[in-house]
Amino acid sequence: MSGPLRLPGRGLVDRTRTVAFRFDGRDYAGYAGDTLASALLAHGVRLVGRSLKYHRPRGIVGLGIEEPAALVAQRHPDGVEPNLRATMLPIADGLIAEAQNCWPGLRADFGAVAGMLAPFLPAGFYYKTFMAPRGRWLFYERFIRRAAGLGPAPEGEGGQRYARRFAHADVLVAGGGPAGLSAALSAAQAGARVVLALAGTQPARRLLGLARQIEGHAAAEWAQDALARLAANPRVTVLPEALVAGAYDHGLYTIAVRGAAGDPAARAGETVWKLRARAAVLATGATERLLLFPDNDRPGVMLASAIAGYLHRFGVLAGRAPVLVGNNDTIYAVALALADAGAPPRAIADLRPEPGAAAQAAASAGLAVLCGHGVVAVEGARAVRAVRLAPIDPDTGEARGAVHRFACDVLGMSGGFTPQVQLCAQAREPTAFDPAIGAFIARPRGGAVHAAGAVAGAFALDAALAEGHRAGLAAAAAAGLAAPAGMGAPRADAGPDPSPAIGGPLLVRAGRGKRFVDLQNDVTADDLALALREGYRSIEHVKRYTTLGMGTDQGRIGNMAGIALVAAGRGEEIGAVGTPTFRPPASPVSIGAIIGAEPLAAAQPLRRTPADAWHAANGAVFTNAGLWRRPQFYRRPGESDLDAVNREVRTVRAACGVIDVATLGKIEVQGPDAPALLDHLYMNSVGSLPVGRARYGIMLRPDGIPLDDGVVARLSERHFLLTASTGHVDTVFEHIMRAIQGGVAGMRAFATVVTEQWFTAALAGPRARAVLAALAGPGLDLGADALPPLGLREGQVAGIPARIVRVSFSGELAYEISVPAGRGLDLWQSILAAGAPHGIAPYGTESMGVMRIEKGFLIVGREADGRSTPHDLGLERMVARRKSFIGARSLRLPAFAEPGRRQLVGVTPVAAGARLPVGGHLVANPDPAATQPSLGFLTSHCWSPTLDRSIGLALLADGRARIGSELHAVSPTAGQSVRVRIVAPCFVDPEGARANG
Amino acid sequence: MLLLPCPFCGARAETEFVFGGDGSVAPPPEGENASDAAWTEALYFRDNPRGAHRELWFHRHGCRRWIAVERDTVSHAILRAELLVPSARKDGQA
Repeated sequence: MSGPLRLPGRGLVDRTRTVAFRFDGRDYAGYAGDTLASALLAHGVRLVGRSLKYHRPRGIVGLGIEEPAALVAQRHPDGVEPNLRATMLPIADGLIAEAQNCWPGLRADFGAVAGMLAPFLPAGFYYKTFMAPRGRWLFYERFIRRAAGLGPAPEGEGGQRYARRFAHADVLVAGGGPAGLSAALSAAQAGARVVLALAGTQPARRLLGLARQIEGHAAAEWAQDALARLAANPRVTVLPEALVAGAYDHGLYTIAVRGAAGDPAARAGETVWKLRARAAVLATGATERLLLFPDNDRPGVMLASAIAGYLHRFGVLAGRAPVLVGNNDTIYAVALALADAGAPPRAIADLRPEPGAAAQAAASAGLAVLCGHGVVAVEGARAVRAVRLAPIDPDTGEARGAVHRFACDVLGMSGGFTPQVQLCAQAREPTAFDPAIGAFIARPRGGAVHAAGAVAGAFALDAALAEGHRAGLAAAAAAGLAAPAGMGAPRADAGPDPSPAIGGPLLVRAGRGKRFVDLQNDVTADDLALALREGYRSIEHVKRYTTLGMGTDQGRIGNMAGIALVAAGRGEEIGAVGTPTFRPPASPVSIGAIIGAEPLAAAQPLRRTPADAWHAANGAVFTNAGLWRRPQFYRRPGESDLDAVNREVRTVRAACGVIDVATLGKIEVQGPDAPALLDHLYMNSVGSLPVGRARYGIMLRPDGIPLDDGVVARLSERHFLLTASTGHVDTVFEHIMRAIQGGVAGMRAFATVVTEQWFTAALAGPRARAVLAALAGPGLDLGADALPPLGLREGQVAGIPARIVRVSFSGELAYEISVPAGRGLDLWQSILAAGAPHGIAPYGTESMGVMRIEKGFLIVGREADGRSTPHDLGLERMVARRKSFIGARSLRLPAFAEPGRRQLVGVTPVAAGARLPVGGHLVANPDPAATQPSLGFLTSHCWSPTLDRSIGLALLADGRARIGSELHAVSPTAGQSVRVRIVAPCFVDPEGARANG
Repeated sequence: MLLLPCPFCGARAETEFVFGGDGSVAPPPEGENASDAAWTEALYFRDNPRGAHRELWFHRHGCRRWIAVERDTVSHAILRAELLVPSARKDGQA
């Protein structure tokens, strides 16, 4: 029932619990503890997917994280999750998984046509095709589109399946093999808070299949017991199904945890842990490599260690008639295990010409060992049927003798072992090339990062246990925890440790068929050779050109072989070629888990003003200003957007309007030296401001470019209130603090942001004084003498203590009325009620913008675009001459006085009804398609209901000298061209009579 | 991601801070009387040292103070972190 290839009495699955699941439309059963891969193998399922580029049939290759081919999509109630490794996916009742990259189906895949086109799809195909004549792309495109992408895009939000956690630890141990368990035990004994991340649900594979003893127990029993002891220790957190994906600065690690262990409260399918660890032990082990022979990707060609792993861990025979091929001694251990399970290998091909002790022992045990032999052909497209072995010349890789055919149903290969140094490299700790194993090993400096076990080159069991123990203590010590005396490492018996040292040829050239270096991205040895022929040398370039190792498996089983091929092609040492840079994540992390379970809105909170509820209830159309939402305008029934804005502007200009400007940044500056500080900060003179008066001011950056503008009001001798643009207040505050903290010693002044403490409404229009007078408390004189332009008064407005500044951003008589934020809505509604007899209308930012363009008032970020100087903006008369301030010296740099600088001007179409093109550039030639220099560009433009024409502000080369002339505003992208007149940058009431009346 | 030891708030993640650039920049000794070349040099030219580097960080989501940090640009080790305080000199650039 759980499959014909399941052997009795072996493995760690729970045979009392049968699990039903569905794969690719068929129902299967397995046992609790199975992965999808082990359960399918038990049923003899060979074909589980199609490859990305050629749509070649693919089967299960590996046992765990290294799996390149068996990627499946899991169907959840709320969507599909793609690209899950069948080797890492535990089966559960009701699991529904599907094959990927095939249409209409796994067995009859239309995209396999791409495989027939393979000669047309070499490395760099996309680059080359884009450079070819247009017509050829159209021919290829239909195949490319079908082949593009890995798996289906996820459906649905699936938010409840993800969570995110932040945690701290003394020691992180990555890996649950002998070294990792030993490290976790010793670090925990030293008193460290330990997080142990296991890649799977069990201790690592090496421990489970070993016929070895640790501390007098079978290795697997010792491991289970060690895990149980760790799990029972309150200072230790054991995370199963946890892949450490990233190592960052200062001990930050990201861990992708699948299943409930990641976050029980969230019942999450996947949780990203962000763990800050004082020290870490990397015990990530080593992964077996593939071998390069023809058709080394056929379903049934597997890693030899994976065949052993399925046997030991799951009691599953990958095949009844295996053949093994390898370049190291570990295949003989696999062979003996298979023989013990009743499936002795039909043949063992050892690529090394000279038979070693292990080969001789296997031969004398009756196994068919062929030394100096390699695979020259694999028969069977959807499942291995037979292999052909031949003697291989170790120098040329060509066959040099008789070919023998062996019928088989699985081919185990071992190309040596690659230490999993990704995290070590990410942590910017050194690695070193070890020629014996043909791979790089971790050699961390030993501060906060330690390595132990196979990743550091210690493959022997006793060495891994001892190194792990030592690394655990060293990591605990790095976290400030001294080890108690008398602690010893767990000891293993003196059993055999097959050597991972490799020999023999790298590449079998004999035979036809593709030799895959990267099964997931369909990169072949020929692709790498082509890249070298075309001049790519750096491994980084070869990687990107061929896509070697760029898949979700990060090329774990093939990269080292690829690097060795590149080194051979360049005639250099592998150590000199090096590895491509390892970057996080070392293994895939779901984007959903990075986001976590919070609604997206929580990632960017929405800020609302005290009057927000009123706006929402009264037709406001909102826009975002930084994190704030602000009414753009208030739409009445039947109005278009432009109708609403035009009505609001006309109402303000003819009667009065009110706008919520609570979002305006507000900063208080206090202290005896506040005037001196402000004179240092602003380019114009503000320190001499009388109490009760306000002034428009501009701050410059040290390079002389405006940082922000606003109004400075003097509340008392030592107390000032500054306003800053809504989006710039943080920057302005930081600028002020920098001037205080990094300025002149003994400056007695300080600043604080008070934006949220105040609600401010701006009341504007010819009727504004009458409306305010109706609300003013006793003694609050609003007369032109008592409260002149830029005057400041405090008093009661609508019974609320208020501060009133007479300042205008609309060009009309206007007051900014500030009250404590908690009274904001009261004030807002009182103003509207008092204004009703005068025809008041609330207006939004769009209408405010129209009026400021009509007046030519600049916005920092638009007209002051980070390049324009005060002079360019026509503000040179504001610049103080007799004081020093930030940016003053820079204004005298010769570049700021050169001719041809862009200056602020007004622009309007010559034809009254024409509209300025969005983003238009000002040019001499009206043809929008013409190639010509841009003389300038529109910074803001709008429809002016006051003038009943389109108007704009622009930065134009030598703009002031061009006032009165005509140019063209063109938009090449929209194909628009409008003849325009250059005018002074103020369209309405240039004398300012309305605001100052 | 860096862990910056704020003198007020303790060790905090880099994401709480705003980077303020090179903290070793000094205005020319002549102040505003410096030549255009000397002023431009102080304004725009920055060293990119290998090793110890003084830089400024603003603790925006913490104490809202500028911190002067000495960081090893190779190892990212934080060698020193202290509150930015005014110097005795009078300068024109802050």
